[in-house]
This record gives sequence, C-alpha cells and structure tokens, in this order.
Amino acid sequence: MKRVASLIFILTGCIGQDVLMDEVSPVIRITNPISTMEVNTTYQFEYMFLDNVGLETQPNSIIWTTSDMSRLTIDQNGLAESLDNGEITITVFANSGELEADTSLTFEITGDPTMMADDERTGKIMTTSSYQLEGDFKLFKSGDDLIVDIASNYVADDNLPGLYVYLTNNPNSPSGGYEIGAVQVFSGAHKYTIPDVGLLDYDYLFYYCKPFKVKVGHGDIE
Amino acid sequence: MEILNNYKKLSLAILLTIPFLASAGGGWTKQKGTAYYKVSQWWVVAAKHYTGTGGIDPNVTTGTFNTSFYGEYGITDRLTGIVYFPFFSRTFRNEQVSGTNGMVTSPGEAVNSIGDTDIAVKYGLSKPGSKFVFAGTLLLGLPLGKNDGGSDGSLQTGDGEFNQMVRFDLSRSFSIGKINAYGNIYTAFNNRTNNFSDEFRAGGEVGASFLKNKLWGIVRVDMVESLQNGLSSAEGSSGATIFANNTEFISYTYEAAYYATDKLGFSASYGGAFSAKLIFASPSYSVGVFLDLK
Repeated sequence: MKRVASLIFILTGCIGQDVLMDEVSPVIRITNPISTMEVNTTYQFEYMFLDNVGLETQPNSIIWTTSDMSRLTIDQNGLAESLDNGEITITVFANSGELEADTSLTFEITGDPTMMADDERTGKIMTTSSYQLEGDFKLFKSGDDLIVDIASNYVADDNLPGLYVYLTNNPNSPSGGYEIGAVQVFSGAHKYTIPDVGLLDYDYLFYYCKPFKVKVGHGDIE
Repeated sequence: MEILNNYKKLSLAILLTIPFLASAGGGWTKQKGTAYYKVSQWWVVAAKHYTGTGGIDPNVTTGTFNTSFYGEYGITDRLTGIVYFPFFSRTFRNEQVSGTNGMVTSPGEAVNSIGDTDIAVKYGLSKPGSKFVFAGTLLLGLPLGKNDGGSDGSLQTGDGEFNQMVRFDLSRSFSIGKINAYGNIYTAFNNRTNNFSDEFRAGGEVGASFLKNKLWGIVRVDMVESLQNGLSSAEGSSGATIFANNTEFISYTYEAAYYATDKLGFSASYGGAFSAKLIFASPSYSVGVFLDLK
C-alpha cells in the first residue's frame, strides 16, 4: 500500500502551501479630511480602519478627541461642531483586540465655507523585482470617478506575463485590494478611470504577476 | 558496434530528462526492426524563476510532472521513427496563505491532461562504417497539452503551438583505455507557430560506460536561443514556465543509466541551468525504466 501511495505522490505532485509575509501596521484613516471649517457649523468626519493585513474592519471601539474643546467639539460618532476661529487638531483612535491605530488632522476654523483637503495624491512606482517597472503617477477625483494618471516616464517590462495593477492597502499583497485590470501599456502616459472609489481609500498602486502570484513593484500614494 | 548500441539507449534516457528537447540517438539510427521503449517520470518544482534579464525572482511554488512513454523503432537501418508521449501531465501551484492571520490569499490549483507530444523521423546521412556518424531529424511538436488551465488560464501542460524542428547530429564513439565512450554535438532550428518565437538550438554530450557496459554516465549541455520574432510574454501571456515564449537557457544534465539485464534498465537524471531567461530556476529530475529490444 505504501508503494502505491508513493507512486501516486510521484505521479501527481501534491498541492502544498506557501506563506506570504503580509503583515502591516494597523491604520485608521479619516476619509473625508478638510483644510478649513466654517465657524458655527457641523461636519461629519468619516473613517476607515484597516487591520494588520490591510483589510478594512470594524473596530471594537473608536474614540474622537479634540485639542481645544472651546474651539471645536466632536462626539464619538465623529460629528464635529466648530465654536471659534483658529487652528484645531482632532484625533481618532481605534482599537480592535490587540490592534490599535490613531491618526490626527489639523485644520483651520474660519469664517469662510468649509473646504475639503487636497484633491490630488501623487506617487512613484518602483520595482521590487528583477523586472523593470518605474514611473510617476497621480490620483484625483473626476466626479464619482477616481483617475489614476500614469506619467510619460512610466516603463514596465513586457517580458513579464500576466501583469496586473491594483489599488491596495498592503504593499505586499493584493488581498482586499481593488483590481484595476491587466496591464496593457508598457511605456508612456496612460490613465485608468475607476468608478466609486475614494481618493483616500487606498495607499498603494500595486503591480502583481498573477500567474506567479508575486509582487512586481508598487508606488506609495502620498 | 556494442558501444553504438549502448549509446543509443542512453542518449534516449538523457533526452527524456528535458522532454521539450526530446529528439534522440545522436547521429546513430536504430537498426531495422529493433526498438527502444521507455516509461519515465520527469518533474520540476520551482519557487523561483529566471526573469527576462536573467535575474532570479520568486514565484508561488509551481510544479510540472510528466509521466511519459518514449519509443524509438528502426523502420529501416537508416530511418528511425520516434515518439515522445506524455500520457499524464500535471501542473500545479501551491496555495498561498497569509503569514499574519493564516487566511488563504490565493487557493492552490492543478490541471491534469495529456501533454505536448513529439513525433519524429531520423535519417542516417553518413556512410555505413564511418568514424563519424551524421543524421538529420524532423520533429513535429503536437500541442496536445492544455495551455489555459486554472482559474486564470495560466496553468499549462503544453504551450498550445504546433512546432516543427529540424536537427542535425554528429557523433563518434571512442575508447579511453578500457572505458568505452562517445561524444555527440547537434544543432537545430525550431519553427514555432501561434506567435511564439522561433528557436536556435545546439548542444553536446559525452558518455562513458562502466561495470562492463552495464552502467553509463553521461553529461550533457543544451542551449536554446530565441530568435525573438514572436510576441512577448506579456502579449502572449505564456508565462515564465517550461512552456514560455522567448525562453532561453544553457543547461546541463547528469544522467546515469543501469542495465539490469540485456534488455531492461533503469535511469535517473538531474538537470539544471548555467544561465537562463523566462524559465523555472530549479533543478529537474527524472526516473525511468527502459526496454531495449535489439
């Protein structure tokens, strides 16, 4: 019987298991940041909490605080009310088991209408493999669409099979990311239009070889 | 003549260690009515590959196993028919799990089918009794394997293209003291279809016998050079596997074959590469049993 089992193993080649090192620091992100807030108004802040593999998850607890309660108050649902002019910093802290993260946002309370923070993010694609992959890019919103605008200095090796591009929150894995699609352009400027994705939803432009299940490179979205 | 017969047996064993190079016998042809059969298992399991620049990058662990029948039959003293038929070919890749939370990030997959098959005829071009023997081979590579398996179509047991290869072998036997030996060099042109690049191939081998010609040791070097006249891997999505387009390599194979009886023998081999592009960067192995019907 053992001989038969050995023969079957030789003839078939069993599927095993590879381990992907994909741990990242938990992150909480304010997804609708502002640069100024009109005095004597309210504003609902929203957040996204990402676990230690970059997947969005609901925290067990969330705490909002403000640097000066005489200038701005904020409740535990993230609803802020501006009371007086001047600079203010809010902080949100999230906790999920052993995972913790916090982030702060500083803005000005003025007499002018509330303004959203920067509406453009930029980055530089860099290879993490032996394949050539480089170029600058920027992200911006166009209506409900997110535009990924790759610059003219972009180059990718076309010897690489099955190259796909993603938006992710993990620089080591496409899991939980948004698959933009197969790479069709290997040099020069080009754009991707992505519906219903926020400017702050992802932190990495991620290039991945699907057949080999391996990362090729990425760009931090600053 | 004994050494020539032994050479023929062993050269077949070598060739099966690199199935996609299968073409047999050097400059020698089988005598009319004689045959050589072999059933073998060849495999490679790789967690890294040679890139298009010759560097080495990781990949999910991927394996290819070919269980094959090889046959060579002397139609006439000068004309030999050859077939290489991988009747069971399996390609798999491992599942990937998160090292952080153990969740499966990419499921493992496998595809089983028959593999790409070669049929060939070899014609002896040298005069009987020549010190050097010379032969030409026409090989047809039949795309009977699967080239679009798995959830994303990238698991392959074949390249999906019909190729025609012309090959010329020049061989000679000799002795070193009491040791019988032989040498062979070859060159070949492989015309590939379906937007695959054509290939120039060349190589050589030396073999020597021990234990009264029961045990043969062989060292072989093969080279494949792409003419780069097909689509790139990205355009063709053929991957960097043994089935990739624009694959290039200079490889070596160590082979041992043992005759348990006059007709029945066993062989084993180990193969690797000195340098390569777009192919797995791990050793290949084979084991087989052969029957030599003189």
